[in-house]
Amino acid sequence: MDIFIQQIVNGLTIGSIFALVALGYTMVYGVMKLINFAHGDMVALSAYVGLVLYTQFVGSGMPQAFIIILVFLITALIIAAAGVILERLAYRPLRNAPRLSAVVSALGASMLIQNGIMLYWGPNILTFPIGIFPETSWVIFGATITFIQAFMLILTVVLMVSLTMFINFTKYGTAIRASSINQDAAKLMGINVNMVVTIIFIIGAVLGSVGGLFIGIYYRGIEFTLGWNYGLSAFIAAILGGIGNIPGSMVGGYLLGLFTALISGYVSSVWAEAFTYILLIVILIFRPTGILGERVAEKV
Amino acid sequence: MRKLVILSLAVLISALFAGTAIADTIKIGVQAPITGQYANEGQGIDNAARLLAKQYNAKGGILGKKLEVFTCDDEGQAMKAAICAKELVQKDVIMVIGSYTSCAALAAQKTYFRAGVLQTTDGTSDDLVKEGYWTFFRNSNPNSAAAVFTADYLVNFKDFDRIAVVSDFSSYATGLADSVVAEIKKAGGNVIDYSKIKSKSQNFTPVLTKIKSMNPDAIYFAGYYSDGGLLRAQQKQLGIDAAFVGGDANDNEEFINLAGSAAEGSKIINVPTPDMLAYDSAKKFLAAYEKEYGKKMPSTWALLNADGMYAFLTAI
Repeated sequence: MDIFIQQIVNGLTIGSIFALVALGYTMVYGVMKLINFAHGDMVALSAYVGLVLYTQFVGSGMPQAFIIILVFLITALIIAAAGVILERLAYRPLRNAPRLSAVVSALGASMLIQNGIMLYWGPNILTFPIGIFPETSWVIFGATITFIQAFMLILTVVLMVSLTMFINFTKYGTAIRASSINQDAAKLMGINVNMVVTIIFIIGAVLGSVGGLFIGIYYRGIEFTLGWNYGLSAFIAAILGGIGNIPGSMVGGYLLGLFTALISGYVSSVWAEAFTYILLIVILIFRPTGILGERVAEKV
Repeated sequence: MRKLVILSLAVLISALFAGTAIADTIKIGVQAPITGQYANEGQGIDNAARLLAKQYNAKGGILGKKLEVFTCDDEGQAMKAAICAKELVQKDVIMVIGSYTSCAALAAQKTYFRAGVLQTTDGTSDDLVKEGYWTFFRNSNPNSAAAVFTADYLVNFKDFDRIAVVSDFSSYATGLADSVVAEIKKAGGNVIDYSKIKSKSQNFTPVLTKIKSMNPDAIYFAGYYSDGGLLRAQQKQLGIDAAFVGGDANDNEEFINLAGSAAEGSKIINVPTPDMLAYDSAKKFLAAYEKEYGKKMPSTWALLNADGMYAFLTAI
């Protein structure tokens, strides 16, 4: 039993990262019907930015908790700015172009960011210092949960609840929902779709930056290709839950994390990856739009 | 008429290229992971090969010809390695140093064999010598030999009763882990689990949790340092007290950086590290490396590759 609970904790930890990153894919897709392939690399960038900021602040004599808050806030600001710039340069000029052009532009942006990171920070693995968070851990029903894991879980849930409230109960949230249903109709109702797209990119980048910092602080080793690794898993999570659907990618992220943990724990670590894709295929056969995806009537 | 002009132009151009091919340098290829997760090692190999070439050139080269080094980045991956092999063969290199990973060396060796280009690598996988290409030379201990020693160490020297083996999916790690499992069984040891992790996935807690439930005495990891350090860190985080023994590819300073405080007490089985070597020539080369690049050689693997190159050059 304690092993089972431990596997749940393992799954929820990695699932938090998947879910946070998946939200970036799903929100952009919801409004623009575009897969933002550069999102994973923004996550990688945030890990590097976070590492630079942390090493800057760590000797300054500020209290540790304050430094951590500062690192999260400034990284989020920088990555949000990068997200807005990315949208302006890579996607806005192609808003009315065929969809394939925008996808190619997204892939190009992804390679640009990835190789930019490699040129600036080098191709070697960089490591986050130890002791960013206290190394306390608790044993609950025989399962070990560390301070960082608890922090990750709580912060992810807080962010998701705030996002859901923002989307459902604010004026901007309504504008986002309206734009995702029908952009032209939203424009006719006086909604500034350009502003909506900017907001989407800011939110996606901020959530991604938290995910990137989690990767750096929890796993400690960061490398310039990490955006592809986590991006792919998060993208699968987004499709699993129903891409374009916000609660869907939260569910998808946690489900993917839990499923991989339980499969490699109880069935076979060799087949963990294969079973994950089998799950994806089975779900897509029965629910082509994902677990929480709505059936959209085909417009002819 | 126009066709004739083009034709003669083509002949002229090809003659020009043929001219450069018989230039008065000896071309040496380096195929190594300059970027990617094994970049630390790849750059070490490249640096070492260039240093050795420089030392030879300072003495006037070989047979009156200067040495020229060409580097191709294979990122440690089989797919890129095959491309690198073609590229280096087209550059008319006579020998290739590398690569670091067994799978990259394996993917390239056939191309070098067909072109008659000599290849030396530090790869330890037993599959490397299966084809028996005459162009292929390995300058390291084969996995099967390392496995015999490892099994003896784990079972007879340390008396570990319950051993869990972990590897990734690469040809090196799978080969080493398979041999180690077989040798442990032969030595009368008890392998309680043989799991695989996906390299670079960083999240190894599910596999470790399963191992924890089996109460192991020791965890043996056949794989690379970039995963080994994290595996050790997560083992400690889950509170698994078992001893950690790593295969030879964990032998890199990055292992310690990644594992952090958990690195303490972990053991890695490898051939002697560069600074333990007793030979004067090795010590001199290491000192020269440090002077040239301002840092220590990343691990013994760069030295093994340079040693292979040295053997080739001496043979010429």
